Formats: sequence, C-alpha cells, structure tokens
Amino acid sequence: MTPQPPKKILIVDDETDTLRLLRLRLEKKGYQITACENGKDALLEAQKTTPDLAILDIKLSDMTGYDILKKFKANPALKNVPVIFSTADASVALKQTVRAHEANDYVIKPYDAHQLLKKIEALLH
Amino acid sequence: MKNKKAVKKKLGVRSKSPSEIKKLRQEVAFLNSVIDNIPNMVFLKEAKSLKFVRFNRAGEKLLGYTEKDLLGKNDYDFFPKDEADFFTKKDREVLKSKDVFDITEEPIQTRKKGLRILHTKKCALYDLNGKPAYLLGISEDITDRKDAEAKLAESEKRLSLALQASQIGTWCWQVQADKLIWDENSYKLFGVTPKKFTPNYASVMNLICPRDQERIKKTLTSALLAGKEYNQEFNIFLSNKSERGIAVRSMIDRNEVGEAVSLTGICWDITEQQQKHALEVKSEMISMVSHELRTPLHTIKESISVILEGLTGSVNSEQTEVLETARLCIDRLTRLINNVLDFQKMDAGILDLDYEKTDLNQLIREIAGIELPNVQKKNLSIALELCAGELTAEIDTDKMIQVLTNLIHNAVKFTERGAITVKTRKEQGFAKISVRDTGIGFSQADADKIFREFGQTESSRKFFPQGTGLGLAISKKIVLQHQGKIWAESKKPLGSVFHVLLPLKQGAHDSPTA
Repeated sequence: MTPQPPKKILIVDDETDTLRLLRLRLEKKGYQITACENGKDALLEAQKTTPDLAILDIKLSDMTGYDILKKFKANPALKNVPVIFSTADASVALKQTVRAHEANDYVIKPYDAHQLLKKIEALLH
Repeated sequence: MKNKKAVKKKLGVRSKSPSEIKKLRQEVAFLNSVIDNIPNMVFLKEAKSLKFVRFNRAGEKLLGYTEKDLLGKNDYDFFPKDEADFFTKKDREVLKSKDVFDITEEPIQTRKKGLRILHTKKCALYDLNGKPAYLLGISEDITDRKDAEAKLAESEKRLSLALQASQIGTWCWQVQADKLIWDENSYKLFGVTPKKFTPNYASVMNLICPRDQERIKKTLTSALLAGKEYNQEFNIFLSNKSERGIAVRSMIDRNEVGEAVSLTGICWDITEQQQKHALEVKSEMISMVSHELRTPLHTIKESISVILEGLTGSVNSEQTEVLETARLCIDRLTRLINNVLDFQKMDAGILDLDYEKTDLNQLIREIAGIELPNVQKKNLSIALELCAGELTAEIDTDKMIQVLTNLIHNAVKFTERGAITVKTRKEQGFAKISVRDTGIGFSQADADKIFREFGQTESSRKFFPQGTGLGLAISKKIVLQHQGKIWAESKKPLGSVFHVLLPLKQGAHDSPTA
C-alpha cells in the first residue's frame, strides 16, 4: 500500500495567535496546512492549492467567512470543499446562518480542540 | 292665455288703457323671462284647489314633468300619497299664515332623477281684498350639496377615528399670541388634561426632559426665523416620572412680510421605537463584547492545551498540575461569560430559539453519560426512570441541553451521599422532567430566590463559591421562552427535586399557569 498524501487544510483567521496554535495542532496530526489572515489571501491560496477542507473565521478584516464560502460555491474546483466556520461571536443565530450558507459545520470559540479534530476527521473520511 | 286672463280676473285687476296694457305686457314678458330662466324651480298653485297654474323651466327639468303636464292638476296626480299629504298640509299652513315658510329640507320623488332634496320657500299671494288667491313656491335642489356635506362629515369622522386609533395628536400654535391649540390626543400624549393644563410655549417646554430642552429651543428658534417645517423628536416626563418619546411634524405658515404666524402639525408616541433602537444597540454591544472576550480566551485555552498535551515538548507532573488548574479556570471563565451574555440576551429579549423535534429521553441519557464521571468521583449513583419509548418535544436542543445539564450538574454538585434520579413522563400535551437529589436541599424561603439571578442560597455560596449565580435564572428564562414551567421543591435536609414542564408542540398550548 502506498502512503496517502497528507490532506490539505486551509485555515483562515485574522488572529495570528489563533492561527499559529491551530497550525501547530493540525500539523502534528499530519495535515498539510495553508494559513491565511484575510479573505483575499485565502481565495488566492484556495485557487492555488485546492484544499481538502477549509476552516473559516466568520469575521475577517476584508470580508466575512460567508463571502469566502460563496466564492467557493461559485467555483467548480472549490464548490465541494467542506467548510467549518469558526467564530467568537455566539450571539448570532449561528445554526440558522450556517444552515443558510450550506456550510458543513461550525465551532464557537473558545472551543475544545479535540471536538474540532473530530469534526475535521468526520468530513475528511 | 286663458290661464293668464283667469289670473288677472282672480287678482281683481281692472281694465287698463292701451298704453298701460303695453307697459304691463312688457313687464309680464320680463317677469316670465325671469321666472323661466332662474335656476330654481318656481310654481304657482291656485289657493283653493291647490292645482298648478304656473310652473317654470327649471321645475320641468327637476321634476321631469312639463308645465302642460301639471297645469290643472294637484300634487296627488304626481307624487306618492304621503309626499302629496305633506306638501298639501304645508300649503294649507302657508295660506293660513301671513309668513314666508322656509322648508330647509324637503324630499321629493322626481320622474327621472329619483329622490331629490329641496330647500323650498313658500308664501301666499293675495287678491285685492286681501284674501289668499295663490300659493307661490320657489325650490332649490340641494341634493348634491347635501351629498357633499354628508361625504365631508363622513371623511371628517373617519379622519378623527383614524387619528384616535393611531393616537396621533393634532395641534396648532399661534406664534404671536403664544396660543397652543391641542386636540384630545395631544393632551393624552403629553399626559395632561385640559382642566389642569394650558398649553403654551413655556408650559410645554416645562414638560420636556431637561436634556432635550436646549435643543428644542434652538431648533424652534431657527425654524421660526427661516424654516418651512418644524420636525423634532424629544422626551417628556409623565407625572409618574417615567419618560415618553414624542415626535412632532409641522408646517410653518408665514405672513406677507415673512414672519411665522402659526405652526400646524401632528405629534405621536415614539417610546416603543426608542426602546427598540436601544435594544438594537444593546444587542450589538453584547455581540461585540462576546467576540472581544472569547477571542483571547480561546487563545489562552488553546495555548494551555497545546502545552498540556505535550505538543511542544514533554511537561512534568508538577507543570501538568499547574496547567490543569489554569485550564479549569479558563473553563469556569468561559461558563461565566456564556451565562452573563445569555442572560443579557434573554433580558433584552433577543435570544432566538431554534425549535426542532427532539427526543428528551435520549437527550437525558446523553447528559447523564457526560455527568457520569462526576457522579462516580463522588461515589454517588444516578438512576434514569424514563417513560417508555421516545419523549419527543419541539425544543431548542442546545438551550434545553443547557437547562438539563445545569439541573443534573447541580444535583451532583449539591449531593454528598445518595443518588440522583431523573424521571420523565408525558402529561396532557406536556413533557415533565424531574431531577431529584439527596443533597443539602434548600429552605422554603429560598424556593423562589434560587431562580433569581445571583440568588444562590447561603449554603450554596458557602460550599460552592465558584458558581456564577446565573445558571437557574437562565434555565428559568429558557423554559419560560419554551412556554414551559420550572419549579423546585425541597425538604431540608432530605434533598430537593426540580421539575420542568415543556409543551410537546410549540404554539399548541397556553403556557401552564405559574
């Protein structure tokens, strides 16, 4: 059996620290990580790498995670990329919004990293 | 011609010289021309028989009969009996009296125009002996005017009803005389009565909250100088010290030299809109605070977890212990923030519930499973006495997990020995969930207090100072928002039991009486 190439995950968050910690944790799990701090870079990187999954912060400096998802859905190469939203804003009616944007899942900060890992595995396998 | 001779004879007119006759003929022609061309109906009836002897063109047009049709006939030949009776009775009264009769409204059935309303004047014409010989009548058709008046009255009534219903006040301020005329709604809006309050610039300014007074004075002054309209919003104090928001919109009338003469306008209550706006601001603030608190909290939590899990290298047992303490504190802080924010949201009425059909029995099994390690740690037991099959209700699953977790977690927390029992059953369209413990319980005096925010009992504060004091208050709000009921019973020191009653279907029931 030939070893599987590592799964590619795009992580987008405007908080550098959050991004660094998430990258550390996911790389230790063997994933190949592309990290971006804004929507514009995220869209460019997604075009380049075609990730297997994306974790998108909802509130970014230049656009929202919803905007990125919309661009994914409009792009044949990216429209099937599973998306998990991550947000620190628990006051929005999150479930409905996530449903409305056809995202696969969401986590609310501060979340338990192991729960996030479970959600990632469920979507990748 | 025969007719006119008869009239002459009746009036006792003596024979005239040819020149007199010529002059008279000219006058008669002039009179006939006037009678036939005036727009009102003119008629002449013989005094005894009340038969028509003259009827003009306007009359022909109005009644739909020609003079020829009418001559030699009376009212009974043309009108329904009750109408003819009325006319005849009036005619006789007129002939007896020396006055001119003014009948302001007289319905009459016409041949082509249906029922018309006439304003009629009637008087007697006398012969040379002073005896009534003829009855003269002049009638104006006022049907259209009456219709217009009725329509105007109707629309005025409607406007007044609409204003009343919308509680919009109307007002007019005569600037020079400083006289303010208010309608009933305006008095109501300002919370005063016409008996005790004379509206003018100073008296109204006095009702306005001090913080708004300067702005109102300034904007009014500049509007009076050069404005076409004056529109403002301000708050007033009512007699019970509460505030009411009021909006005014008005037009400014000016005289020929451009001075403001009067302001005519409306005013209405905007308190509700103001409160809605305040809620939106509050909601935005809660959302922002939530975001700003959770982001660093997440970074701290994740940093600690990454080190604890050895992802950055090995940690010794002492370091692990210290970091575990930090992690527990972060979790506690997270719970506190969640509770405070939830409470704020519920208090502001902006917590939307997402109802879905969920099996409460399954939910309780899962929550009990999560709580099991804590139960075992304290050497307690947990028993589930759930009703048979599923207990499906329309609930916001996440919020109900929060309520049931809180109840079960509390039961474990406040029990040192014994057991926790969770019971469920169906009860007339409701699901009843009871969580019983054998813990410290609470006194009857505390039974209501425990559901209030920061309403911990003395013993709970003593033993568990880390509680937020919001758990049960939030649970109560969530249950109430589900149209349910939550209450607790305790026989100190035998433990306590908490009950939750939830409708199986949302909107299908009145909420159970508290």
